[in-house]
Amino acid sequence: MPDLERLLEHLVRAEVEFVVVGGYAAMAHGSTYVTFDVDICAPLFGPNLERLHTALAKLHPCHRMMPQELPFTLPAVGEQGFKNVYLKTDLGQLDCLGDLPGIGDYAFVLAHSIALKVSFGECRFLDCPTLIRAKEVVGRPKDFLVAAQLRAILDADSAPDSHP
Amino acid sequence: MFTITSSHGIPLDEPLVLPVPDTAAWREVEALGMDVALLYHSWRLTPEERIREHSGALNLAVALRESGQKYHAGPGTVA
Repeated sequence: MPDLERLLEHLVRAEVEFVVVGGYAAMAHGSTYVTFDVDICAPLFGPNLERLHTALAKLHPCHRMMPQELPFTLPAVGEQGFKNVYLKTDLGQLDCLGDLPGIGDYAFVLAHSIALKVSFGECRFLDCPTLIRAKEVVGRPKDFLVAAQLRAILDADSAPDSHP
Repeated sequence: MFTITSSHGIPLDEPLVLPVPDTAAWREVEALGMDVALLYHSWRLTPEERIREHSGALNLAVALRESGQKYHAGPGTVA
């Protein structure tokens, strides 16, 4: 059974630098859609990649987009990191993106993120306006539906005296 | 205030008034056939509460999917 909350907890406890994006971020902002994986944007090279590898070490991570589902290992010495990594773990799927296509690189994503308090501490999520743009850029029918919900949430958030 | 007068195409006995702004965005959500009251419920929660509710919904979805796969696996299979 996937446990995406615990999956993120592993990353936070290992001090991986990342921003939650995609459907899980939309859910945290208030979207009602259920998502089966977690998408994060993160520097996928150097010490952060090593921390990501350490964080997932006990969760049997493997590359889910490879037919052989090879284990997730660090690049050989001298090689660059990854552009993207699509992983399957014991706690669920984790898609790691080096940047957000049509939106920006990790630095941009980080600058457009907010810290939210969750059960295991503080975690950064893409902010609502940027997430709406990201959903519109991807442009699949389900992304348009989520974007529509997020626009309504943004309206409610910004209405005076409306937030509970 | 956003007023809902029907659900799933059926008129409500009494309109449901939600304390969110009556904007084009909320009307679009309703026009797309999404449950506006459910979205309002989710909006009122904290992120932590949303994550907890999502975990429950995800567990249910996975259990239903597995049950459905067993059911469709072949005749005589007990789901």
